[in-house]
Amino acid sequence: MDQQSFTRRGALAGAAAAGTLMAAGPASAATLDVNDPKNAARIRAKIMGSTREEAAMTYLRINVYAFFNEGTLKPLYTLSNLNIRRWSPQADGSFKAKVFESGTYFKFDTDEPIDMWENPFTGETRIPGDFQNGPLNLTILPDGSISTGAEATLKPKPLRSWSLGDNFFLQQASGFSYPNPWKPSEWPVESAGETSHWDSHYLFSAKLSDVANDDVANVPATVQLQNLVTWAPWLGMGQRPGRTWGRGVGAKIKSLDEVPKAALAEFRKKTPMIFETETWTALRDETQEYRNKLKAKR
Amino acid sequence: MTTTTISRRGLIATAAMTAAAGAISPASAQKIGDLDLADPKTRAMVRAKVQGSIAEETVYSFYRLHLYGYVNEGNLVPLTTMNNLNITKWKPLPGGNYAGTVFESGSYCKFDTDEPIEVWENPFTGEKRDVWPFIGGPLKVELGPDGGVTDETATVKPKAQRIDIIGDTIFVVSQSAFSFPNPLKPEEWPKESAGPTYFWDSHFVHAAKVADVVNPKLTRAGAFSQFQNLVSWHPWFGMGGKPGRTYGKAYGTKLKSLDELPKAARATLEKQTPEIFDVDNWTKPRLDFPEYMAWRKAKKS
Repeated sequence: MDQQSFTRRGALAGAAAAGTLMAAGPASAATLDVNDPKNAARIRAKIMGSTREEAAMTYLRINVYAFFNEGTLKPLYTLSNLNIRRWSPQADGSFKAKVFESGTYFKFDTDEPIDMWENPFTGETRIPGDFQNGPLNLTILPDGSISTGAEATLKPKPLRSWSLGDNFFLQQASGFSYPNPWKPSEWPVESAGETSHWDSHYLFSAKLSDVANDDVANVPATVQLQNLVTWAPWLGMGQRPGRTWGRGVGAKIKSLDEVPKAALAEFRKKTPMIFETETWTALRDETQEYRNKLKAKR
Repeated sequence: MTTTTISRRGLIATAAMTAAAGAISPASAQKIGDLDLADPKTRAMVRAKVQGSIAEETVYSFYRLHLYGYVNEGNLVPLTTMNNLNITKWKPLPGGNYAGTVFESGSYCKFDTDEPIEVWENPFTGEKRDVWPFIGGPLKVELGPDGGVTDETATVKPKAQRIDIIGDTIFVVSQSAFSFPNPLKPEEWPKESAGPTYFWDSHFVHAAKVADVVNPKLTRAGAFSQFQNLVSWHPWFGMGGKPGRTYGKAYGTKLKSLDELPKAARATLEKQTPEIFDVDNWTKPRLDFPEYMAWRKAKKS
Protein backbone atom coordinates (compact mmCIF):
# COMPACT_ATOMS: atom_id res chain seq x y z
CA MET A 1 0.00 0.00 0.00
CA ASP A 2 2.87 2.33 0.66
CA GLN A 3 3.76 1.93 -2.94
CA GLN A 4 0.53 3.55 -3.92
CA SER A 5 1.29 6.90 -2.50
CA PHE A 6 4.65 6.81 -4.16
CA THR A 7 3.54 5.81 -7.59
CA ARG A 8 0.46 7.90 -7.82
CA ARG A 9 1.77 11.34 -8.45
CA GLY A 10 4.59 10.34 -10.72
CA ALA A 11 2.40 8.12 -12.77
CA LEU A 12 -0.13 10.85 -13.24
CA ALA A 13 2.50 13.23 -14.44
CA GLY A 14 4.06 10.75 -16.76
CA ALA A 15 1.21 8.63 -17.93
CA ALA A 16 -1.54 11.04 -18.72
CA ALA A 17 -4.19 10.64 -21.31
CA ALA A 18 -4.14 6.95 -21.90
CA GLY A 19 -5.90 6.23 -25.12
CA THR A 20 -7.03 9.76 -25.71
CA LEU A 21 -5.90 9.98 -29.27
CA MET A 22 -8.28 7.26 -30.25
CA ALA A 23 -11.05 9.74 -29.63
CA ALA A 24 -9.47 12.77 -31.19
CA GLY A 25 -11.78 15.39 -32.62
CA PRO A 26 -12.30 16.01 -36.29
CA ALA A 27 -10.11 19.09 -36.31
CA SER A 28 -7.04 16.97 -35.75
CA ALA A 29 -8.03 14.17 -38.08
CA ALA A 30 -6.73 15.88 -41.18
CA THR A 31 -3.25 16.10 -39.74
CA LEU A 32 -3.01 13.09 -37.47
CA ASP A 33 -4.01 9.55 -38.25
CA VAL A 34 -5.65 9.11 -34.91
CA ASN A 35 -6.87 5.64 -35.70
CA ASP A 36 -3.40 4.23 -36.06
CA PRO A 37 -2.47 2.84 -32.63
CA LYS A 38 1.22 3.13 -33.43
CA ASN A 39 0.73 6.76 -34.27
CA ALA A 40 -1.25 7.26 -31.10
CA ALA A 41 1.51 5.84 -28.93
CA ARG A 42 4.17 7.91 -30.63
CA ILE A 43 2.16 11.10 -30.40
CA ARG A 44 1.39 10.50 -26.76
CA ALA A 45 5.01 9.80 -25.98
CA LYS A 46 6.29 12.91 -27.73
CA ILE A 47 3.84 15.14 -25.86
CA MET A 48 4.28 13.50 -22.48
CA GLY A 49 8.00 13.04 -22.87
CA SER A 50 10.05 11.93 -25.83
CA THR A 51 10.14 9.26 -28.52
CA ARG A 52 13.93 9.26 -28.26
CA GLU A 53 16.20 7.74 -25.66
CA GLU A 54 16.47 10.79 -23.44
CA ALA A 55 15.28 12.46 -20.27
CA ALA A 56 12.26 14.75 -20.48
CA MET A 57 11.53 17.18 -17.69
CA THR A 58 8.44 18.97 -16.47
CA TYR A 59 8.34 21.79 -13.94
CA LEU A 60 5.11 22.77 -12.19
CA ARG A 61 4.28 25.37 -9.58
CA ILE A 62 1.33 24.04 -7.59
CA ASN A 63 -0.71 26.30 -5.33
CA VAL A 64 -2.41 24.14 -2.73
CA TYR A 65 -5.61 25.14 -0.94
CA ALA A 66 -7.79 23.58 1.72
CA PHE A 67 -11.44 22.84 1.13
CA PHE A 68 -13.31 21.91 4.30
CA ASN A 69 -16.45 20.81 2.47
CA GLU A 70 -17.90 24.22 3.23
CA GLY A 71 -17.04 27.87 2.67
CA THR A 72 -14.46 28.94 0.12
CA LEU A 73 -10.94 27.66 -0.52
CA LYS A 74 -8.18 28.61 1.91
CA PRO A 75 -4.55 28.99 0.70
CA LEU A 76 -2.08 26.59 2.33
CA TYR A 77 1.29 26.58 0.56
CA THR A 78 3.00 26.37 -2.82
CA LEU A 79 4.71 23.21 -4.02
CA SER A 80 7.49 23.36 -6.60
CA ASN A 81 7.47 20.13 -8.51
CA LEU A 82 10.17 18.73 -10.78
CA ASN A 83 9.43 15.57 -12.72
CA ILE A 84 12.11 13.79 -14.74
CA ARG A 85 11.30 10.85 -16.97
CA ARG A 86 13.97 8.85 -18.70
CA TRP A 87 12.40 7.59 -21.90
CA SER A 88 13.39 4.82 -24.24
CA PRO A 89 11.58 3.62 -27.36
CA GLN A 90 11.05 -0.12 -27.65
CA ALA A 91 11.22 -2.36 -30.69
CA ASP A 92 7.55 -3.30 -30.36
CA GLY A 93 6.38 0.32 -30.73
CA SER A 94 5.96 0.99 -27.04
CA PHE A 95 7.74 3.66 -25.02
CA LYS A 96 9.12 3.03 -21.55
CA ALA A 97 10.00 5.58 -18.93
CA LYS A 98 11.58 5.63 -15.52
CA VAL A 99 9.86 8.35 -13.55
CA PHE A 100 11.56 10.44 -10.84
CA GLU A 101 9.97 13.29 -8.98
CA SER A 102 10.73 15.79 -6.28
CA GLY A 103 8.95 18.63 -4.56
CA THR A 104 9.88 21.54 -2.33
CA TYR A 105 7.60 23.73 -0.27
CA PHE A 106 7.17 27.50 -0.23
CA LYS A 107 5.07 30.05 1.52
CA PHE A 108 1.95 30.42 -0.57
CA ASP A 109 2.60 31.94 -4.00
CA THR A 110 6.07 33.13 -3.11
CA ASP A 111 9.69 32.04 -3.52
CA GLU A 112 10.15 31.93 0.25
CA PRO A 113 11.03 28.33 1.13
CA ILE A 114 9.58 26.77 4.25
CA ASP A 115 11.26 24.24 6.51
CA MET A 116 8.36 24.23 8.91
CA TRP A 117 4.75 25.06 8.25
CA GLU A 118 2.18 26.34 10.68
CA ASN A 119 -1.17 24.79 10.03
CA PRO A 120 -3.49 27.82 10.07
CA PHE A 121 -6.42 25.71 11.20
CA THR A 122 -4.85 23.73 14.03
CA GLY A 123 -2.08 26.16 14.97
CA GLU A 124 0.34 23.25 15.02
CA THR A 125 3.79 23.59 13.48
CA ARG A 126 4.44 20.77 11.03
CA ILE A 127 7.52 19.65 9.12
CA PRO A 128 6.97 18.71 5.46
CA GLY A 129 8.07 15.30 4.31
CA ASP A 130 11.08 14.73 2.10
CA PHE A 131 9.49 14.65 -1.33
CA GLN A 132 11.75 12.49 -3.51
CA ASN A 133 9.91 9.70 -5.27
CA GLY A 134 10.97 7.11 -7.80
CA PRO A 135 11.87 5.40 -9.94
CA LEU A 136 8.51 4.30 -11.27
CA ASN A 137 8.23 2.14 -14.34
CA LEU A 138 5.87 3.53 -16.92
CA THR A 139 5.02 2.19 -20.37
CA ILE A 140 3.02 3.60 -23.23
CA LEU A 141 1.95 0.46 -25.04
CA PRO A 142 1.83 0.14 -28.83
CA ASP A 143 -1.95 0.48 -28.81
CA GLY A 144 -1.68 3.76 -26.95
CA SER A 145 -2.74 2.48 -23.55
CA ILE A 146 -0.68 3.02 -20.43
CA SER A 147 0.80 0.52 -18.04
CA THR A 148 2.14 1.69 -14.71
CA GLY A 149 2.91 -1.75 -13.32
CA ALA A 150 1.29 -3.88 -10.67
CA GLU A 151 2.46 -1.68 -7.82
CA ALA A 152 0.50 1.30 -9.07
CA THR A 153 -3.15 1.75 -8.26
CA LEU A 154 -3.40 4.63 -10.68
CA LYS A 155 -6.36 4.35 -13.01
CA PRO A 156 -6.07 7.09 -15.61
CA LYS A 157 -9.09 7.35 -17.82
CA PRO A 158 -8.78 8.61 -21.36
CA LEU A 159 -10.55 11.80 -22.29
CA ARG A 160 -10.61 12.83 -25.89
CA SER A 161 -7.83 14.82 -27.45
CA TRP A 162 -8.65 17.57 -29.87
CA SER A 163 -7.15 20.51 -31.65
CA LEU A 164 -8.09 24.13 -31.99
CA GLY A 165 -6.16 26.16 -34.52
CA ASP A 166 -2.55 25.09 -34.00
CA ASN A 167 -3.20 23.94 -30.43
CA PHE A 168 -3.41 20.29 -29.55
CA PHE A 169 -4.85 19.22 -26.19
CA LEU A 170 -4.03 15.95 -24.48
CA GLN A 171 -5.89 15.29 -21.25
CA GLN A 172 -6.58 12.65 -18.66
CA ALA A 173 -8.66 12.18 -15.57
CA SER A 174 -7.89 9.84 -12.72
CA GLY A 175 -10.05 9.13 -9.72
CA PHE A 176 -9.30 6.42 -7.22
CA SER A 177 -9.48 5.53 -3.57
CA TYR A 178 -7.68 2.98 -1.44
CA PRO A 179 -7.41 1.86 2.18
CA ASN A 180 -5.34 4.43 4.00
CA PRO A 181 -2.10 2.94 5.33
CA TRP A 182 -2.19 5.61 8.03
CA LYS A 183 -4.77 4.16 10.39
CA PRO A 184 -6.67 6.74 12.44
CA SER A 185 -6.27 4.66 15.58
CA GLU A 186 -2.48 4.74 15.28
CA TRP A 187 -2.08 8.14 13.61
CA PRO A 188 -4.89 10.36 14.90
CA VAL A 189 -3.16 13.56 13.79
CA GLU A 190 -1.78 12.36 10.45
CA SER A 191 -4.56 10.08 9.24
CA ALA A 192 -7.42 11.55 7.24
CA GLY A 193 -9.52 8.42 7.77
CA GLU A 194 -9.82 4.81 6.77
CA THR A 195 -9.89 5.56 3.04
CA SER A 196 -7.75 7.86 0.95
CA HIS A 197 -9.21 9.55 -2.11
CA TRP A 198 -7.19 11.02 -4.94
CA ASP A 199 -8.67 12.74 -7.97
CA SER A 200 -6.13 14.19 -10.35
CA HIS A 201 -6.40 15.71 -13.79
CA TYR A 202 -3.59 16.61 -16.19
CA LEU A 203 -3.68 18.60 -19.37
CA PHE A 204 -0.94 19.08 -21.93
CA SER A 205 -1.25 21.79 -24.56
CA ALA A 206 1.15 21.54 -27.51
CA LYS A 207 1.43 22.89 -31.01
CA LEU A 208 -0.37 20.68 -33.48
CA SER A 209 2.33 21.38 -36.07
CA ASP A 210 4.97 20.04 -33.66
CA VAL A 211 2.90 17.00 -32.79
CA ALA A 212 2.34 16.19 -36.45
CA ASN A 213 5.99 16.70 -37.35
CA ASP A 214 7.79 13.36 -37.43
CA ASP A 215 11.10 15.12 -37.01
CA VAL A 216 10.13 16.41 -33.57
CA ALA A 217 10.65 13.75 -30.93
CA ASN A 218 10.12 15.85 -27.83
CA VAL A 219 7.30 18.34 -28.21
CA PRO A 220 7.24 21.48 -26.05
CA ALA A 221 4.06 21.64 -24.02
CA THR A 222 2.32 23.72 -21.43
CA VAL A 223 1.16 21.58 -18.54
CA GLN A 224 -1.72 22.05 -16.15
CA LEU A 225 -2.63 19.96 -13.14
CA GLN A 226 -5.58 20.11 -10.82
CA ASN A 227 -6.49 17.72 -8.07
CA LEU A 228 -8.67 17.04 -5.06
CA VAL A 229 -6.88 14.86 -2.55
CA THR A 230 -7.34 13.51 0.96
CA TRP A 231 -5.22 15.51 3.42
CA ALA A 232 -1.56 14.54 3.21
CA PRO A 233 -0.32 13.09 6.53
CA TRP A 234 2.29 15.81 7.04
CA LEU A 235 -0.43 18.50 7.15
CA GLY A 236 -1.70 17.09 10.44
CA MET A 237 -5.34 17.71 9.59
CA GLY A 238 -6.48 14.54 11.30
CA GLN A 239 -10.03 13.53 10.47
CA ARG A 240 -11.26 17.02 9.68
CA PRO A 241 -13.67 16.89 6.80
CA GLY A 242 -12.26 18.10 3.51
CA ARG A 243 -9.47 17.75 0.98
CA THR A 244 -6.66 19.70 -0.54
CA TRP A 245 -7.48 21.34 -3.87
CA GLY A 246 -4.48 21.92 -6.07
CA ARG A 247 -3.82 24.06 -9.08
CA GLY A 248 -0.53 23.55 -10.90
CA VAL A 249 0.82 25.33 -13.95
CA GLY A 250 4.07 24.79 -15.76
CA ALA A 251 5.72 23.35 -18.79
CA LYS A 252 8.03 20.77 -20.18
CA ILE A 253 11.48 22.28 -19.92
CA LYS A 254 14.46 21.87 -22.21
CA SER A 255 17.00 22.02 -19.41
CA LEU A 256 17.27 22.71 -15.71
CA ASP A 257 18.25 26.26 -16.61
CA GLU A 258 14.58 26.90 -17.30
CA VAL A 259 13.55 26.10 -13.73
CA PRO A 260 12.97 29.37 -11.85
CA LYS A 261 16.10 30.18 -9.84
CA ALA A 262 14.54 30.11 -6.38
CA ALA A 263 12.92 26.79 -7.05
CA LEU A 264 16.10 25.31 -8.49
CA ALA A 265 18.10 26.38 -5.45
CA GLU A 266 15.62 24.69 -3.16
CA PHE A 267 15.68 21.47 -5.19
CA ARG A 268 19.47 21.44 -4.92
CA LYS A 269 19.27 22.00 -1.18
CA LYS A 270 16.47 19.62 -0.24
CA THR A 271 16.01 17.06 -2.98
CA PRO A 272 19.47 16.59 -4.53
CA MET A 273 18.70 13.11 -5.79
CA ILE A 274 16.51 14.55 -8.53
CA PHE A 275 19.74 15.69 -10.21
CA GLU A 276 21.20 12.19 -10.12
CA THR A 277 18.53 10.15 -11.82
CA GLU A 278 21.13 8.24 -13.82
CA THR A 279 22.40 6.62 -10.63
CA TRP A 280 19.14 6.66 -8.64
CA THR A 281 18.02 3.04 -8.61
CA ALA A 282 16.65 2.32 -5.12
CA LEU A 283 12.95 2.95 -4.73
CA ARG A 284 12.05 6.00 -2.67
CA ASP A 285 8.58 6.60 -1.29
CA GLU A 286 8.00 9.89 0.47
CA THR A 287 5.00 8.70 2.47
CA GLN A 288 6.66 5.59 3.78
CA GLU A 289 9.82 7.52 4.60
CA TYR A 290 7.79 10.14 6.42
CA ARG A 291 6.04 7.47 8.47
CA ASN A 292 9.34 5.80 9.32
CA LYS A 293 10.71 9.15 10.42
CA LEU A 294 7.75 9.72 12.74
CA LYS A 295 8.04 6.21 14.11
CA ALA A 296 11.72 6.72 14.85
CA LYS A 297 10.87 9.90 16.73
CA ARG A 298 8.49 7.94 18.92
CA MET B 1 -27.49 40.41 -6.63
CA THR B 2 -28.71 39.64 -10.06
CA THR B 3 -25.88 41.48 -11.66
CA THR B 4 -23.36 39.56 -9.67
CA THR B 5 -24.69 36.34 -10.99
CA ILE B 6 -24.26 37.33 -14.55
CA SER B 7 -20.95 39.03 -14.14
CA ARG B 8 -19.13 36.42 -12.20
CA ARG B 9 -17.90 34.07 -14.84
CA GLY B 10 -17.17 36.70 -17.44
CA LEU B 11 -15.26 38.79 -15.00
CA ILE B 12 -12.97 36.02 -14.08
CA ALA B 13 -12.52 34.89 -17.61
CA THR B 14 -11.44 38.16 -18.98
CA ALA B 15 -10.42 40.39 -16.16
CA ALA B 16 -8.57 38.19 -13.81
CA MET B 17 -5.82 39.44 -11.58
CA THR B 18 -8.20 41.96 -10.24
CA ALA B 19 -8.03 44.04 -7.17
CA ALA B 20 -4.82 43.56 -5.35
CA ALA B 21 -4.06 47.19 -5.91
CA GLY B 22 -0.92 47.84 -3.99
CA ALA B 23 -0.16 44.16 -3.84
CA ILE B 24 2.43 44.21 -6.55
CA SER B 25 3.42 40.65 -7.27
CA PRO B 26 7.02 39.48 -7.12
CA ALA B 27 6.94 39.40 -10.88
CA SER B 28 6.79 43.16 -10.90
CA ALA B 29 10.51 43.16 -10.38
CA GLN B 30 11.05 41.00 -13.43
CA LYS B 31 11.95 41.96 -16.91
CA ILE B 32 10.68 40.26 -19.99
CA GLY B 33 13.17 41.12 -22.66
CA ASP B 34 13.08 44.89 -22.69
CA LEU B 35 9.74 44.97 -20.92
CA ASP B 36 10.00 46.06 -17.30
CA LEU B 37 7.12 44.66 -15.27
CA ALA B 38 7.82 47.17 -12.52
CA ASP B 39 6.29 49.77 -14.79
CA PRO B 40 2.51 49.81 -14.25
CA LYS B 41 1.68 50.58 -17.86
CA THR B 42 3.91 47.79 -19.06
CA ARG B 43 2.34 45.40 -16.59
CA ALA B 44 -1.14 46.37 -17.70
CA MET B 45 -0.11 45.90 -21.30
CA VAL B 46 1.31 42.44 -20.61
CA ARG B 47 -1.82 41.34 -18.79
CA ALA B 48 -4.09 42.67 -21.52
CA LYS B 49 -2.00 41.21 -24.32
CA VAL B 50 -1.99 37.76 -22.76
CA GLN B 51 -5.59 37.74 -21.56
CA GLY B 52 -7.17 39.69 -24.40
CA SER B 53 -5.85 42.46 -26.59
CA ILE B 54 -4.19 45.86 -26.33
CA ALA B 55 -5.96 47.10 -29.46
CA GLU B 56 -9.54 47.99 -30.23
CA GLU B 57 -10.64 44.60 -31.41
CA THR B 58 -12.84 41.65 -30.58
CA VAL B 59 -11.25 38.58 -29.02
CA TYR B 60 -12.91 35.19 -29.11
CA SER B 61 -12.01 32.46 -26.62
CA PHE B 62 -13.30 28.93 -26.60
CA TYR B 63 -13.18 26.53 -23.67
CA ARG B 64 -14.35 23.02 -23.00
CA LEU B 65 -15.46 22.81 -19.39
CA HIS B 66 -15.79 19.39 -17.81
CA LEU B 67 -17.99 19.41 -14.74
CA TYR B 68 -17.76 16.78 -12.04
CA GLY B 69 -19.79 16.35 -8.89
CA TYR B 70 -18.08 16.24 -5.50
CA VAL B 71 -20.46 15.27 -2.72
CA ASN B 72 -17.96 15.76 0.12
CA GLU B 73 -16.98 12.10 0.02
CA GLY B 74 -15.65 9.53 -2.43
CA ASN B 75 -14.24 10.40 -5.83
CA LEU B 76 -15.43 12.87 -8.42
CA VAL B 77 -18.37 11.87 -10.61
CA PRO B 78 -18.54 13.16 -14.22
CA LEU B 79 -21.66 15.25 -14.81
CA THR B 80 -21.61 17.12 -18.10
CA THR B 81 -19.39 19.10 -20.48
CA MET B 82 -20.01 22.72 -21.40
CA ASN B 83 -18.84 24.28 -24.65
CA ASN B 84 -18.04 27.80 -23.58
CA LEU B 85 -17.60 30.78 -25.92
CA ASN B 86 -16.37 34.12 -24.62
CA ILE B 87 -16.46 37.20 -26.82
CA THR B 88 -14.81 40.33 -25.50
CA LYS B 89 -14.58 43.68 -27.24
CA TRP B 90 -11.33 45.28 -26.07
CA LYS B 91 -10.05 48.81 -26.36
CA PRO B 92 -7.14 50.73 -24.83
CA LEU B 93 -7.95 53.56 -22.44
CA PRO B 94 -6.09 56.91 -22.24
CA GLY B 95 -4.56 56.20 -18.83
CA GLY B 96 -2.90 52.96 -19.87
CA ASN B 97 -5.61 50.55 -18.81
CA TYR B 98 -7.76 48.44 -21.11
CA ALA B 99 -11.54 48.13 -21.25
CA GLY B 100 -13.49 45.07 -22.20
CA THR B 101 -17.14 44.39 -22.91
CA VAL B 102 -17.80 40.73 -22.29
CA PHE B 103 -20.38 38.38 -23.76
CA GLU B 104 -20.42 34.72 -22.89
CA SER B 105 -22.45 31.58 -23.40
CA GLY B 106 -22.25 27.88 -22.69
CA SER B 107 -23.99 24.89 -24.24
CA TYR B 108 -24.24 21.63 -22.34
CA CYS B 109 -23.26 18.29 -23.82
CA LYS B 110 -22.99 14.71 -22.72
CA PHE B 111 -19.74 14.43 -20.77
CA ASP B 112 -16.63 14.79 -22.93
CA THR B 113 -18.61 14.83 -26.17
CA ASP B 114 -20.19 17.36 -28.51
CA GLU B 115 -23.55 15.65 -28.17
CA PRO B 116 -25.91 18.40 -26.99
CA ILE B 117 -28.35 17.54 -24.25
CA GLU B 118 -31.72 19.05 -23.49
CA VAL B 119 -32.53 16.72 -20.62
CA TRP B 120 -29.90 15.48 -18.19
CA GLU B 121 -30.15 12.61 -15.75
CA ASN B 122 -28.66 13.47 -12.38
CA PRO B 123 -26.36 10.56 -11.44
CA PHE B 124 -26.86 11.22 -7.73
CA THR B 125 -30.64 11.59 -7.58
CA GLY B 126 -31.71 9.77 -10.74
CA GLU B 127 -33.95 12.70 -11.58
CA LYS B 128 -34.20 13.95 -15.14
CA ARG B 129 -33.59 17.69 -15.30
CA ASP B 130 -34.16 20.24 -18.04
CA VAL B 131 -30.84 21.71 -19.14
CA TRP B 132 -30.39 25.44 -18.62
CA PRO B 133 -27.80 26.82 -21.07
CA PHE B 134 -25.54 29.54 -19.75
CA ILE B 135 -25.71 33.06 -21.11
CA GLY B 136 -24.22 36.20 -19.63
CA GLY B 137 -23.30 39.74 -20.61
CA PRO B 138 -22.64 42.40 -21.60
CA LEU B 139 -20.30 43.11 -18.73
CA LYS B 140 -17.88 46.01 -18.45
CA VAL B 141 -14.36 45.29 -17.31
CA GLU B 142 -11.29 47.48 -16.92
CA LEU B 143 -7.94 45.75 -16.87
CA GLY B 144 -5.02 47.49 -15.22
CA PRO B 145 -1.48 46.75 -13.99
CA ASP B 146 -2.67 44.61 -11.10
CA GLY B 147 -5.75 43.07 -12.54
CA GLY B 148 -9.25 43.94 -13.50
CA VAL B 149 -11.29 46.72 -12.04
CA THR B 150 -14.91 45.76 -11.89
CA ASP B 151 -18.01 47.77 -11.21
CA GLU B 152 -19.59 47.84 -7.78
CA THR B 153 -22.36 45.49 -8.72
CA ALA B 154 -19.96 42.60 -9.07
CA THR B 155 -19.18 40.54 -6.00
CA VAL B 156 -16.29 38.79 -7.66
CA LYS B 157 -13.07 39.40 -5.76
CA PRO B 158 -10.21 38.00 -7.78
CA LYS B 159 -6.78 38.33 -6.26
CA ALA B 160 -3.64 38.87 -8.23
CA GLN B 161 -1.14 36.08 -8.24
CA ARG B 162 2.34 36.56 -9.53
CA ILE B 163 3.24 36.45 -13.15
CA ASP B 164 5.40 33.41 -13.71
CA ILE B 165 7.91 32.71 -16.44
CA ILE B 166 8.96 29.13 -17.05
CA GLY B 167 11.25 28.58 -20.02
CA ASP B 168 9.81 30.55 -22.93
CA THR B 169 6.29 30.70 -21.51
CA ILE B 170 4.69 33.42 -19.42
CA PHE B 171 1.83 32.57 -17.08
CA VAL B 172 -0.74 35.12 -15.96
CA VAL B 173 -2.62 33.66 -13.02
CA SER B 174 -5.58 34.67 -10.86
CA GLN B 175 -7.73 33.31 -8.09
CA SER B 176 -11.14 34.35 -6.89
CA ALA B 177 -13.10 33.19 -3.86
CA PHE B 178 -16.39 34.68 -2.92
CA SER B 179 -19.78 33.91 -1.48
CA PHE B 180 -23.10 35.68 -1.54
CA PRO B 181 -26.67 35.17 -0.32
CA ASN B 182 -28.32 32.67 -2.61
CA PRO B 183 -31.33 34.24 -4.36
CA LEU B 184 -32.85 30.76 -4.52
CA LYS B 185 -34.01 30.25 -0.94
CA PRO B 186 -34.07 26.64 0.21
CA GLU B 187 -37.60 26.87 1.55
CA GLU B 188 -38.93 28.10 -1.79
CA TRP B 189 -36.60 26.12 -4.02
CA PRO B 190 -35.92 22.85 -2.16
CA LYS B 191 -34.68 21.03 -5.24
CA GLU B 192 -32.79 23.87 -6.83
CA SER B 193 -31.24 25.72 -3.90
CA ALA B 194 -27.72 24.85 -2.79
CA GLY B 195 -28.39 26.56 0.52
CA PRO B 196 -28.73 30.06 1.92
CA THR B 197 -25.21 31.00 0.80
CA TYR B 198 -23.72 30.44 -2.63
CA PHE B 199 -19.98 29.76 -2.92
CA TRP B 200 -17.84 30.26 -6.01
CA ASP B 201 -14.08 29.61 -6.18
CA SER B 202 -12.56 30.10 -9.60
CA HIS B 203 -8.97 30.21 -10.81
CA PHE B 204 -7.66 31.25 -14.20
CA VAL B 205 -4.36 30.93 -16.01
CA HIS B 206 -3.43 32.31 -19.40
CA ALA B 207 -0.12 31.09 -20.83
CA ALA B 208 1.57 32.72 -23.80
CA LYS B 209 4.96 32.68 -25.46
CA VAL B 210 7.34 35.34 -24.18
CA ALA B 211 8.36 36.07 -27.77
CA ASP B 212 4.77 36.97 -28.62
CA VAL B 213 4.39 39.18 -25.57
CA VAL B 214 7.50 41.19 -26.36
CA ASN B 215 6.74 41.43 -30.08
CA PRO B 216 5.60 45.05 -30.62
CA LYS B 217 3.88 44.08 -33.84
CA LEU B 218 1.38 41.87 -32.05
CA THR B 219 -1.65 43.37 -30.34
CA ARG B 220 -2.54 40.11 -28.64
CA ALA B 221 -0.60 37.01 -27.78
CA GLY B 222 -1.93 33.60 -28.65
CA ALA B 223 -2.72 31.99 -25.34
CA PHE B 224 -3.48 28.66 -23.83
CA SER B 225 -6.21 29.43 -21.32
CA GLN B 226 -7.45 27.32 -18.51
CA PHE B 227 -9.75 27.71 -15.58
CA GLN B 228 -10.78 25.46 -12.75
CA ASN B 229 -13.46 26.05 -10.20
CA LEU B 230 -15.36 24.74 -7.23
CA VAL B 231 -18.89 26.07 -7.16
CA SER B 232 -22.14 25.53 -5.27
CA TRP B 233 -24.57 23.39 -7.24
CA HIS B 234 -26.19 25.38 -10.02
CA PRO B 235 -29.98 25.34 -9.61
CA TRP B 236 -30.60 23.41 -12.80
CA PHE B 237 -28.73 20.36 -11.50
CA GLY B 238 -31.46 19.82 -8.91
CA MET B 239 -29.00 19.02 -6.13
CA GLY B 240 -30.91 21.01 -3.52
CA GLY B 241 -30.13 19.89 0.01
CA LYS B 242 -27.23 17.70 -1.10
CA PRO B 243 -23.77 18.48 0.26
CA GLY B 244 -20.98 19.24 -2.18
CA ARG B 245 -19.98 21.33 -5.17
CA THR B 246 -19.27 21.05 -8.84
CA TYR B 247 -15.58 20.63 -9.63
CA GLY B 248 -14.82 22.18 -12.98
CA LYS B 249 -11.84 22.04 -15.30
CA ALA B 250 -11.79 23.98 -18.52
CA TYR B 251 -9.20 24.57 -21.17
CA GLY B 252 -9.03 26.26 -24.54
CA THR B 253 -7.50 29.15 -26.41
CA LYS B 254 -8.13 32.46 -28.00
CA LEU B 255 -9.43 32.05 -31.52
CA LYS B 256 -8.17 34.00 -34.51
CA SER B 257 -11.79 34.20 -35.60
CA LEU B 258 -15.05 32.34 -35.12
CA ASP B 259 -14.07 30.23 -38.11
CA GLU B 260 -11.70 28.37 -35.79
CA LEU B 261 -14.51 27.28 -33.53
CA PRO B 262 -14.79 23.49 -33.77
CA LYS B 263 -17.77 22.71 -35.97
CA ALA B 264 -19.47 20.33 -33.59
CA ALA B 265 -19.05 22.73 -30.70
CA ARG B 266 -20.38 25.61 -32.78
CA ALA B 267 -23.46 23.56 -33.61
CA THR B 268 -24.22 23.07 -29.91
CA LEU B 269 -23.79 26.78 -29.22
CA GLU B 270 -25.96 27.76 -32.18
CA LYS B 271 -28.63 25.41 -30.94
CA GLN B 272 -28.63 26.36 -27.27
CA THR B 273 -27.35 29.94 -27.17
CA PRO B 274 -27.76 31.58 -30.60
CA GLU B 275 -27.49 35.04 -29.02
CA ILE B 276 -23.73 34.66 -28.71
CA PHE B 277 -23.37 34.94 -32.48
CA ASP B 278 -25.10 38.31 -32.57
CA VAL B 279 -23.37 40.35 -29.91
CA ASP B 280 -23.55 43.55 -31.94
CA ASN B 281 -27.28 43.57 -31.32
CA TRP B 282 -27.07 42.22 -27.76
CA THR B 283 -27.49 45.19 -25.46
CA LYS B 284 -29.86 44.02 -22.73
CA PRO B 285 -28.09 42.45 -19.73
CA ARG B 286 -28.76 38.74 -19.35
CA LEU B 287 -29.11 37.58 -15.76
CA ASP B 288 -28.61 33.89 -15.16
CA PHE B 289 -30.28 33.17 -11.82
CA PRO B 290 -33.27 35.53 -12.14
CA GLU B 291 -33.95 34.25 -15.64
CA TYR B 292 -33.73 30.67 -14.43
CA MET B 293 -36.11 31.35 -11.56
CA ALA B 294 -38.60 33.04 -13.87
CA TRP B 295 -38.35 30.20 -16.35
CA ARG B 296 -38.92 27.54 -13.71
CA LYS B 297 -41.84 29.41 -12.23
CA ALA B 298 -43.42 29.80 -15.65
CA LYS B 299 -42.91 26.14 -16.32
CA LYS B 300 -44.51 25.12 -13.05
CA SER B 301 -47.54 27.33 -13.50
